[in-house]
Amino acid sequence: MASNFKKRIAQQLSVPLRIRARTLAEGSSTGLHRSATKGAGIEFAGHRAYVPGDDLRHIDRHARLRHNRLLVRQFHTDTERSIHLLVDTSASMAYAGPDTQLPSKLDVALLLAGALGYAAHKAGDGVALTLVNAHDTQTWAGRHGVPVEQVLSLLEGAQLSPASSERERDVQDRSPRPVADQTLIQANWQRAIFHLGSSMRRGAILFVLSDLLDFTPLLTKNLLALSTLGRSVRVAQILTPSELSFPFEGPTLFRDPETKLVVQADANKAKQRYLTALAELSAPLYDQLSHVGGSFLRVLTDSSEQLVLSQLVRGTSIRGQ
Amino acid sequence: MGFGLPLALLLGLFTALVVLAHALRRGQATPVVFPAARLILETPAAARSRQHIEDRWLLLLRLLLVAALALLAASPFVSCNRLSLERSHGASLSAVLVVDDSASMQASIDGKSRLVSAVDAARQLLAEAHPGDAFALVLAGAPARVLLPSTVDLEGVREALDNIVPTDRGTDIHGGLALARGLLAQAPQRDQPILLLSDLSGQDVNTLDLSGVTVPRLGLTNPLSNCALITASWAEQGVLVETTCTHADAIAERTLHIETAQGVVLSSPVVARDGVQSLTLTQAVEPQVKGSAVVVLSRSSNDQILSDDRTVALLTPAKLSVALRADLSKAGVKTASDTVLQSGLEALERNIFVQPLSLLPDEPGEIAGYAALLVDDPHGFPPEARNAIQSWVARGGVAVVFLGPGINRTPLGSNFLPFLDTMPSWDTQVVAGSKDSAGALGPLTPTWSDLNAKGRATFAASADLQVLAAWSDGLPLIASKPLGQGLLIISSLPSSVDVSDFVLRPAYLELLDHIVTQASIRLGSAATPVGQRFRIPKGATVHSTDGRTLAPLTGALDLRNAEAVPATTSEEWLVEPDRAGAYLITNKGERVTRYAIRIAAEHIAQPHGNLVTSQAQARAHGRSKVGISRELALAVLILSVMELMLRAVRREKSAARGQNLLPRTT
Repeated sequence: MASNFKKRIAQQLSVPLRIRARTLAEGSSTGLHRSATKGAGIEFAGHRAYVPGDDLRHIDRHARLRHNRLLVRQFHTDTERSIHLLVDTSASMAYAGPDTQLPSKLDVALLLAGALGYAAHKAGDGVALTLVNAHDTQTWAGRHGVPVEQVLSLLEGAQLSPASSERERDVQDRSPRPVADQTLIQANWQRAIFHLGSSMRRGAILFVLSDLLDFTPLLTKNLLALSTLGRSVRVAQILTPSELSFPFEGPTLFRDPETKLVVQADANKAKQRYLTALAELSAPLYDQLSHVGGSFLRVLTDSSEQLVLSQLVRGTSIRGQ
Repeated sequence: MGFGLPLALLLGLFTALVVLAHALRRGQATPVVFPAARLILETPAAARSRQHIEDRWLLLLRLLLVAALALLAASPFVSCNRLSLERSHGASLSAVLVVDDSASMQASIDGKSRLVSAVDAARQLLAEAHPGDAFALVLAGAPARVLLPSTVDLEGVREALDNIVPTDRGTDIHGGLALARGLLAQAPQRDQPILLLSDLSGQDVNTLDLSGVTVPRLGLTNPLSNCALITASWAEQGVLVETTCTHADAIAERTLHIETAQGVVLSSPVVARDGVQSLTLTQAVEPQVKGSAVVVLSRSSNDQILSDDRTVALLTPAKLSVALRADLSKAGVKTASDTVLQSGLEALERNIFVQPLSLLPDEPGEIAGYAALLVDDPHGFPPEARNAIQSWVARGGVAVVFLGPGINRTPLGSNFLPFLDTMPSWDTQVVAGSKDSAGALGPLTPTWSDLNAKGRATFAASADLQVLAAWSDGLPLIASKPLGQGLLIISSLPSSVDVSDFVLRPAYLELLDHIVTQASIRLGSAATPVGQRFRIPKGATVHSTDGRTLAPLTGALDLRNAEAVPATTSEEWLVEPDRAGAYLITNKGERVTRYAIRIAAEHIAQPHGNLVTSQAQARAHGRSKVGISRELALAVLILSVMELMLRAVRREKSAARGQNLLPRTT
């Protein structure tokens, strides 16, 4: 079973991204059609917890009396929905794990982004794309979004980003890591989130496709803040199976291709601590996104893209494997 | 052994360092690319306090490597005793395997006898033979004999080895080595090793000429613990048994009894003791039962030779009886009460009973019970004595006359028939000494070369006389001639020390030994040591009590003492018993029983698996050592390759883990 899956992945990777994304989006039975944006409108769609920034007119006082907390009424909106794709293209995303048959995290992120963009295009929604890495933050957006072909082209371009090869060289480079790298990418993340906060309109859906390894509590807080004004944030944390299971043993020299950080540790002893740190990294997003109408989905690179796409579209929060 | 060996072997201590290094080895961290490294808490290198040794296979290989290197360094000093054939010239060799098949080789520990060990060693040596190598087999049980002449048919040699069986023979390593050297004398090969596979028991190893002989260590050094029944003979009231043991513990709590061949006990058990003791019958025994009765020594857990715990009870005395007619006044010495002849016979330690005769025999029956008759300085033989001696000798007796000045007083009617056809004369002319005629009697004959004699008997050397030793002028000093199945021996000097120092020379004992040997192998003696040949009429058959038929010897393979042992004639055959027991000789309906008895020394002598003197040890074992440098170097090479391969595999695995984690770009 596993070998068939890997063979399929290998075959798929040889196919251009735009074709794979289109195939993925067209094969999805869900698409974006059921993801009607909730927000200000006529048809009542449900309640959700109040977050600062919500329109006070939508606070349901009766519900507050019943539940003793602030709840906001949501309505199906007929306003134009825009889809924002925030894709992490940093060096850490180029990691595929020890199993070379699996796609890298970046492969999965770009494929999902392409499929989402194509699905949005099919639904008539505008698509905006933001790529974040250690070098800069690039955003493509327009009043009515970016043509899907351009989005796919940009995603394919990100596939061939020189950043990856640079990171390969970093693997051989044993020089002490430049600490500025991580702060730089965090700054880029900050800039991207800030920009999205100002550019995302009411009802927009933001898909964050990243391993979240660079996320800090501040970035998490700012990302959660985007879930206002009827906007929805759906985060897909893309990890390789090895990052989740930590299969290493014995004394190991871990090198971070992004920050050039070199950590020497006994893998057996470090495993539990690492898994705890990994869980703590995504815990705030998982816990809070669902309260603000968003979702958190942990995606493994060996998962079925079809299923992942479906869950992303439905806004299902899944933190496990 | 100098300082080199211990210093080289000290390298072996590095094995401890290897273990220590593995135990404290700071594990080489496997480099991997891992983006989430920032989430990993750095831990200090734990290798220094590692409790378990890792890479056990690598550790094992390295330990072996260090040990092999240490041995390799010491290999110029170290050698193993693995049996091998040394080829100093690199070409084919001609080897002689001298296998001791004497009785002492029957001693076994844990079910494996010394003989089996020796034969196994011979097979091991054969396994190293190359095509074209020639091998010969010599058996060193007394008398030594050639089992297989030199041949390149190795399969034939192996088959011959399979045919080697235990015997009760004495040890004759001298003879075996002489035969081996004789076999190699004409061999064209330059490498001519002689390998002696023996426990060296019952042999004075210091007198062995081991030049060019390899004596591999066969591990036959375990002390012998054994009791053996040497002889048993019927007496009036029962059986006289002679038992010999290596030590007192070997006979403790053991008993003796008589039983028939069918196992019917004829006597009550008697506590056995070292020496001669009498067993009394508890019931009357028919004469025919006596012939097959055996004396049994009860078993003991520490007895290493089981076959010598039974012996046939001889119907006739076991000792060789010799009649001696000598005048004490002439043949005696002032320091002893016996004649020189009697002292000499007893000095042979051949289990001889010497009966002095006051008169020469007038009837053959007077000397019928004797195997030999020795007459010193007779005044001739009267007709009755001539007839008696002639008749007795013709039936197998050995008569010896020591001629002396009495010749001059030969009475009328007497002469020296049947010894000499013509009348000898006593010559008082001083003679310088005997002519060197070594080999006729034995290697000691030349000790007569400077005899001081006041006179000598001279007689013509007739055609039927065989000169065993001669004077410097060519006249016979010692001569012999066959008569019927017996033998006549004439000495031209008497035993008197007043006439010559003839009896004071070592060759004199050699002459007596020759006489006793000749007497033993003839019908005159009923019991002879195992290995002593029986002279039987042509056409007679010899059966042992256990049903074996003894084939007559051809004599063709005995390259050594061809003259000391009477050659077979057209009327006689020789058979050689190799096990103790009774042998039934049947000739034209006439049945005679002869006995082969054990040689006591073979059953109690301790082995000399390790030669006793350092000189002999170096000489004998020097060539048996095999340098192990080549094997060690090969072992080091193999271990090194294995270690490199193992490390390469480990490195490859480690690299695979690291390489596979490199970021991929698609």
